[in-house]
Amino acid sequence: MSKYIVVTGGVVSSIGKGITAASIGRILRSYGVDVTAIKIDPYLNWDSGTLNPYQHGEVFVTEDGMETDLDLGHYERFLNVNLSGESNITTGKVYSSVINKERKGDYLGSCVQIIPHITDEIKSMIREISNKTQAEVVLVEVGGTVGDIESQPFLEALRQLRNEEGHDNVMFVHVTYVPYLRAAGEFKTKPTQHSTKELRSTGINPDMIICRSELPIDSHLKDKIAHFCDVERKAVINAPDVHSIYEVPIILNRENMGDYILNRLKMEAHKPDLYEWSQIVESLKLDGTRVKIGIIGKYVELEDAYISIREALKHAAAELGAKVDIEWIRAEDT
Amino acid sequence: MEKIRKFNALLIPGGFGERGITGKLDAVRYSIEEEIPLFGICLGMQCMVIEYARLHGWEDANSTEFESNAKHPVIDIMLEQENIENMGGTMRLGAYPCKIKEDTIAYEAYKEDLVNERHRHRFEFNNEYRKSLEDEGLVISGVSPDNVLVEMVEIKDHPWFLGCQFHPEFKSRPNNAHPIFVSFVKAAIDNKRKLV
Repeated sequence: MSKYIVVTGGVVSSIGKGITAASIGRILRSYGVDVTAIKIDPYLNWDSGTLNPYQHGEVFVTEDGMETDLDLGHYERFLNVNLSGESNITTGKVYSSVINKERKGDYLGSCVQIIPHITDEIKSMIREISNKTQAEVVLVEVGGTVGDIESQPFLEALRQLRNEEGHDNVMFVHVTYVPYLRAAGEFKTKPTQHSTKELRSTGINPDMIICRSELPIDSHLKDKIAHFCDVERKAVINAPDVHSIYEVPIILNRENMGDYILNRLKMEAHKPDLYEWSQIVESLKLDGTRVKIGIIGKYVELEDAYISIREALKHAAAELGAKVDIEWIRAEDT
Repeated sequence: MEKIRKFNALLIPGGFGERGITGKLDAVRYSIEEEIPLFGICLGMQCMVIEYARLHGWEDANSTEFESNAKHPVIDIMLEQENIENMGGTMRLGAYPCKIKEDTIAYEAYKEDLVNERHRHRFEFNNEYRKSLEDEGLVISGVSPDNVLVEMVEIKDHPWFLGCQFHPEFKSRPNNAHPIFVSFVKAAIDNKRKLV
């Protein structure tokens, strides 16, 4: 039976929740734990195939041919696995499955409701991944931010999951943003406090808070967050901006995140070995021959629209001991 | 065109629709004339085929995606896509095998004669033009195992000119860079050295 780590987001989107979740996965891998990942996208689209890359970034295609959210690309790259398309759960998929069952008469005359029918469907989709992959840990990232109307049924389903699977088998990680106010010359924890409060109003108490920030935050601030958000002090982890996304697992584990998670989930594990990963990070940082590559595309205003191409160029350059300077050119402007 | 002169190599990624196509075709012509490495992915490969055809006698070559009555539709909708009405989840999607021809850039990179790559497209290389374009120097370096779909194209007498219908970027990993991307970045490095 798998253990579950649920990753929610607060304050604002685009703070790198997907990379943070993928990094948790990479850290657990370094302890020898077998990890898989699920991305929940609360929008009503069935998949991301018809979404505009301007708004949502690249459509990532899985081996089995599902058009998914770009976070699955991060998971595949960080965990070095091929995920199935079922690893991307959307409100569209959940509702269409429930409505199909209702039409077939599977609900035997009962009134079909968000609780229990939608929430049961969500839990069964999550457990299905656990059964199929037999992973020791399933990461479940909930897209959007806590408080979005679309994510409510998912949070309710995940709250139920913790009760059903037991406290030792499900943990909640909340990723927030701690802004630095230049005028006041200080970091502000209030948005983190508010979004944690919002999360707790759904019945979920976070076990860990990861604070994204522009610059590193100090110990006093972490004390404050631990106190106001009611999490253990050592479970308040800071993830300041870094040059390369591949550095994030190393930064997070400096604060012993892996040990904390494994203790919390009552798991036995080897000693962590992030050596190979840090070699990768170093090779990506090497400043060898620099080449200029021009990418002529349609969606260049949002770099995320071609995120896998950008990463693939970086991986290739690292292997050759070189560095690529990518420039985006609007196809209309050549 | 001035804007793309400073680059050691160019890449045209996938996309949909007609907007910006002229700019992409100009970039293909520039790469051929100036011998600048060019990597075309999905729609990028299709642009390479269209421009190559235009430069070799089919001046009004086009894709039926941009011009439904194109006189020379070198890129056309796939047979199984013709009667599809819904847009969601109906493209040719996911991993399919591709046979690699020996003595090509693709083979030199993969060092394998059968690879699996991920796809996302409705349009494809039109086989009616396959023989004539090959006669004009286009190299078909990758095909589906039944030889029906053209998956990769190259040209001779060019330092690095490769287009693929699939998306190799989805399979690149930080600890396992994709061989075609490695070959492409190497070509960019070689091109930079040549200039010095």
